Amino acid sequence: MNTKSIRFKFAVWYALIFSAVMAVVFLAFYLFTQQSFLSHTDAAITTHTGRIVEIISQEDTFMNPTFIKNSQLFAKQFSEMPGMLLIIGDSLGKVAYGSQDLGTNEIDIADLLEKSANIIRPTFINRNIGATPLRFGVFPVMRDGQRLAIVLMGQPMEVIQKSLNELTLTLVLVYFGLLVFTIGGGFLLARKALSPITQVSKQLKKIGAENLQERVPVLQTGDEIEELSQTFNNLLDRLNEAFVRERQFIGDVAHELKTPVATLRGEIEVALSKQRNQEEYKHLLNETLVDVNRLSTTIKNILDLAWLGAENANLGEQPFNLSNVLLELKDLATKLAAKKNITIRGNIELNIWAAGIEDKMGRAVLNIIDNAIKYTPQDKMVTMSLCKKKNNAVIEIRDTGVGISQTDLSHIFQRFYRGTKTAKTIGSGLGLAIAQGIIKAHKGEIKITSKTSKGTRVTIFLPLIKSAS
Amino acid sequence: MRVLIIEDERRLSNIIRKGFIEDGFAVDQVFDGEEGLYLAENEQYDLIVLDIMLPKMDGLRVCRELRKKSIKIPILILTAKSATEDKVAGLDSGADDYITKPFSFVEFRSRVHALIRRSHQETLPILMVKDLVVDPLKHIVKRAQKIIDLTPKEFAILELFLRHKGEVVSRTMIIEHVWDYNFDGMSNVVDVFVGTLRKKIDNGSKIKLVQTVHGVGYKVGD
Repeated sequence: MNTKSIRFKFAVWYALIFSAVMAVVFLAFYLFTQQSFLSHTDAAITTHTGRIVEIISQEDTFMNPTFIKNSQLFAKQFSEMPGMLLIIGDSLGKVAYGSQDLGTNEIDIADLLEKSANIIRPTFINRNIGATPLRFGVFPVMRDGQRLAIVLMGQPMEVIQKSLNELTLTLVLVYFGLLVFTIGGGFLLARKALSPITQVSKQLKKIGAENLQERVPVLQTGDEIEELSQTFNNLLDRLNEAFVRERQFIGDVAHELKTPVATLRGEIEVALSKQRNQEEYKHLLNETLVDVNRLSTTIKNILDLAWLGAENANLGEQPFNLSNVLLELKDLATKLAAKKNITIRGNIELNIWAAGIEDKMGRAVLNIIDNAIKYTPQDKMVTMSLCKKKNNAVIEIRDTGVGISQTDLSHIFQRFYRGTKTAKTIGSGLGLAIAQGIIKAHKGEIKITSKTSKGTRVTIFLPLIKSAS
Repeated sequence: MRVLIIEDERRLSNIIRKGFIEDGFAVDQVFDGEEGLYLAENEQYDLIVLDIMLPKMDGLRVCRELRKKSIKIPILILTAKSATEDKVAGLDSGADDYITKPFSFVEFRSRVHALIRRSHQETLPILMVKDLVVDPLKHIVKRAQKIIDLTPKEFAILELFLRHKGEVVSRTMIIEHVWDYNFDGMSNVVDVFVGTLRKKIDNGSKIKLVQTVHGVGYKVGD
């Protein structure tokens, strides 16, 4: 048995406390019973002695003929009461009168009288006379502070003693009997109380990555165990969600890589399937290059996402000039837009600073600008602006493109989500997810509003810092 | 042979198309499930290459819809999904074969030819009639051990004849199986091609293999 287990400790503590309480109760019961017996005996002795003490104290002279006559009367009276012993001692502590022939027990009595020499108040003493246990009442008879005599009245204790011994034996037996039950009960109770925990832990041992959808049984008991199982299940829910999300992501990544690889492989195999002229080879090589470029872009995107997942905390608080980033991006956008003859308009407030990683932030904004240009038809316009609003730097990218439908808008930040109307050739579906990830990592916020066939407005809020000081 | 490619990844679709055309196939391309289903229902194809993740209607549904309408065209699923459950789902929806990306184009071609062969209940990968031998996979035609050079279209027409050995093949059938959706030529274009084909294979032989069935079409038989 594991002595460190809660069950064991629980049972032991339970048994210890219960047995200690029982011991106290039993002891108290015993003492009370004993006390009750003795006080009844003492009361009887006092009653019997009262008259004798009264008579002695009225006598003018101790040991005069009247006294002796009276004594004989006492003797008669007490010899009729079996076991009772009356002894009257004189002022010197010598036996003046004994209700029975003391015989060999005279020494015991003498000793008792000697011990009682200093007693001035009625006192009760247990004392064996010969083999018989007796309870003695010691009553000094006083006059003017002088002790006239001493009266010892002994009552046999045999019955009381026997009863008390039997009581002790019974109590000890009952105590040990109960002790066995207590220990057994303690273990049973502990097991019963802890069995749901054992169950929960058994179930948890079975749950691994491959069966994360299994749950711990929740007993509707309303106690801590129910709460514990519920907590475990919530934890499993969250783990499962994260797991499913990651698995989905890996599947998406695989899909994203497999298709261009398939295309590339097909292109090469078709190219090699027969003799071709130089022009054809050149054309085919160019085609393969397109796919290689696409693959490397996808890989870069995936790495970016992995970076966002892994190093959010390590962003650093490096200040950078956001205005300069936007100005550079505007130049880049102008080049990108030239093919489609799209005008890029910029309204960029200077000397606005933000903190984080300049490259990443540039990447995020570029992804949005890139989208804006992609979805804007020929000869139209894309507007970029940067300004301060309260404690935020606000970047706004507005296009006059095709817009985004309400259904698409709610999924727009999902990884690998492509619009329902989007031809698949455009983008990997990661651009906005990455942009959002980067902006969130910079403690910023991104919002998109759109009207179909009117255009889209993307607003980015970033916490402002004063300047690089 | 005429093939429909339902694949939204344009570059991949284009390269498959290129490979098929070099094999003498007529190829139609569509980029979403709905259009794919429409064409598959209304045109005569010898094979459909089907992606699973498609816009508008996914490939599995396209497959089920086609089978529900008793369309028996062989379907080859071509997808990035490589888990066993995905393959099982694909085949259970009525597809005949399943190939995962990235695939070898050579293997892909072999599977395509195998599917076409099976759909015509043929056992050998080569087609024969008398002393004429056609190997669709290697693209070789021999008559009396002599190799005959054919253009892709001529080859496709000959293959069609041999796949329907002993049956009358109508001009419409030829158009439907040899030319793609964009062909809007007159049926006498068929006669021109059959004429040159006949010249190439029957010249110098006593037995004329290609017979004209007046008012209906052509027949190649034993």
